Amino acid sequence: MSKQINVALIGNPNTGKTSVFNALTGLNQKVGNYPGITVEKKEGICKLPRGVKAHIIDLPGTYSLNASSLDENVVIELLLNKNDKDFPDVAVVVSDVENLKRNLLLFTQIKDLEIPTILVINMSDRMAYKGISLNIDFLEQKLETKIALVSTRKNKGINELKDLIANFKNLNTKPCLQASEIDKAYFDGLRKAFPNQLLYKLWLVITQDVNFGKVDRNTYESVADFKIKSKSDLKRLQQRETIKRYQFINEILKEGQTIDLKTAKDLRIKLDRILTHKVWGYLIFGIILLTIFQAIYDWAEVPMDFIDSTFASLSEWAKSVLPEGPFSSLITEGIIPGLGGIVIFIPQIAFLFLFISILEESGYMSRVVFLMDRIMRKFGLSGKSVVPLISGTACAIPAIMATRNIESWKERLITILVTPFTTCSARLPVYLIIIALVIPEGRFIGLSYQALTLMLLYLIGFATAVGSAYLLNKILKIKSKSFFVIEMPNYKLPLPRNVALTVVEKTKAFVFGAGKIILAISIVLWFLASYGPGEAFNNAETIVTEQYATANLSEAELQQKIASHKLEHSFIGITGRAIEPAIQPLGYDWKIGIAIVSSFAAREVFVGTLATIYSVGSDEEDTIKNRMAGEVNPILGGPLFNLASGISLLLFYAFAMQCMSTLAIVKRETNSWKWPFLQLVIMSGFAYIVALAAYQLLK
Amino acid sequence: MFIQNILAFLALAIAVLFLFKTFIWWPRKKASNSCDDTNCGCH
Repeated sequence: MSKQINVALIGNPNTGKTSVFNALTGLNQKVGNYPGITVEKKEGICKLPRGVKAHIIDLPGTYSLNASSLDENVVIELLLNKNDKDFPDVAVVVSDVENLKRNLLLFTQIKDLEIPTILVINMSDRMAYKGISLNIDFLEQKLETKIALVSTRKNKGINELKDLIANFKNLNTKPCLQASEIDKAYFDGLRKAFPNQLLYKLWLVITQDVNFGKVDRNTYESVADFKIKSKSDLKRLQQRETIKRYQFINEILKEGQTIDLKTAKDLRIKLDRILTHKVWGYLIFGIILLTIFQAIYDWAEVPMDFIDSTFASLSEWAKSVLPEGPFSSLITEGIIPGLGGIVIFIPQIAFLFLFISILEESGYMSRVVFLMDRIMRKFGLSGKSVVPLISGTACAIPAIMATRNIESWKERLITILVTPFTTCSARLPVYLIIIALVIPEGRFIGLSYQALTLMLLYLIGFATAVGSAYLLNKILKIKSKSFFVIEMPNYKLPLPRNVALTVVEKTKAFVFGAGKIILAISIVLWFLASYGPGEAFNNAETIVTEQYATANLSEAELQQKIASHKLEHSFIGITGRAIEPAIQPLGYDWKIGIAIVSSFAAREVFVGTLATIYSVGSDEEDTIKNRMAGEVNPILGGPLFNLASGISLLLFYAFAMQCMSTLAIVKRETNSWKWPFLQLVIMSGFAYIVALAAYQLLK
Repeated sequence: MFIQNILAFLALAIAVLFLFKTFIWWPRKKASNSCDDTNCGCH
């Protein structure tokens, strides 16, 4: 049987920790959450020499073991708790060659926990470019560790790192700093009170209010000989600890690292000057956004058409081979069209994540956050709110969780309340299908009207979020102070492997997360559309045949009339007709009404619902888009999806709070039903009014 | 036809259960050790 060891990957943010994780684990990785909390947990398996397997955990990025957020707490809790099943046999601290001094602070803290620790110096390919040279032997000797010089970009040093992990038992566990140096008398008392415990662990328990095993702060209070100092005294000791650590690090780097400033070519300063410029910065960002939206349309067209026609053919083929019956109809008229309604958007969603991932990997996204901070402050938010607002373009749920690093409760609450206005990927399917139906295909200075409309919708979402934040800032009477500090990572060419992994992971999460819900809703909708109460449904054939006896209809036309009559008198038809008076002034029929109601679960369900409703009883092989384009307005005649109703729908989805999961997360993050309830009423009420106004003005 | 009916209604039952579990019944998760009373600063 092969042995398995636990390896924890730890490091400051932006050190390329995830790249090292990807290089070690490849595709053998999974993403989950830490139990009971919503911090992402990435783990994977890596095969090491001599048949040893390593279970690798990519821990959240942290600057030190002095935790100030939930993410950082996860790191400390794992490193202190030997009974945790993931407690590392070896810790791999990933550092960036250009920020070695800052990165070594965390390294020395972990080393002091007496866990076998390896230091990875990543981005080593940039050393020559930046004029940096390292004396590895000297550093290894002084830091009492083994160092792996790695470049994930050039795929160098990974095998050496694997060897070091496999031989972790040879690593020295001597601490870098004697904790008692911080305050000798105080630490002597601590040692006397708990003679069998590691001193630095005890210190972390006092300062971080975490526990390990049976030792926590309450234990200290029960020891008569030992008194915990006041908060301000503890802060002073922590500062002393940091100063001592930096003295130690400076001493080592003086001999272990040389930087030749003449060799260093700093393109970064020049680029920053342009990309964060108060005019050029915004202009460049605007051009990048335009390019992204245009590319989403142009590049995704062919694969989307292919998927659409494949699902139509699949449904037709299934009809021809499956025996007749309700289950076969459920598959061909419910499940296949419903799933087709989500699979069709894979290309566009993958392209969107591709661009977002490239912008993040290159270091440009941090510049965007910096740029936006200037605007945000005028609206009562800080740059820290930009991260959730930008993450909201993928999904509001992780974006709302990302507000946890905003210290000011007022800013955090406002960000939570306005984030659902930003255009999430679930809105994308609705936007794309409606835009394709109602916006003409022409171009303006090389940019298609459709791409411009999509970009406009994103900007409307962002502007509404910022505008609402401004209003909330005036309305909410909560006093709080805030500050904003952001680290600008170096610019780098995105690693194709990292970009690809992100795109696959995010697209998979979207398709499988939404796919399960859409599959279930499609099944329920098919039942509601295929069964109905009373004579009007059960005797539909006789009623319609008698009604059109003199109309001279072909057999196909008659069947279409029967299917339409049955649908109208099915359970779903009856429900739809009941809500029709409320949505008719917006230009929608009862089928759109049903799609809006069902998409309250998740916005992307809208397209799948319409695909299912339109395919029930229909024998024709057709794509979703063609079916929607063929729908006729029952009152006014003409296409149901025209410019007026289309714009009305787009605006409704831009503003309405159509996501139950987001409401649940808001409840959890605010610990109150008041905020999600207000969010639901205000957003949906506003959406209704705007959609109504748009339809009445444009019809 | 009988089997088709059973399969179709079985699919319906599974779908309804799944939706109920996803949107209506959220099981309470045990909070982590360090987040008990303070709720990890999440108000």
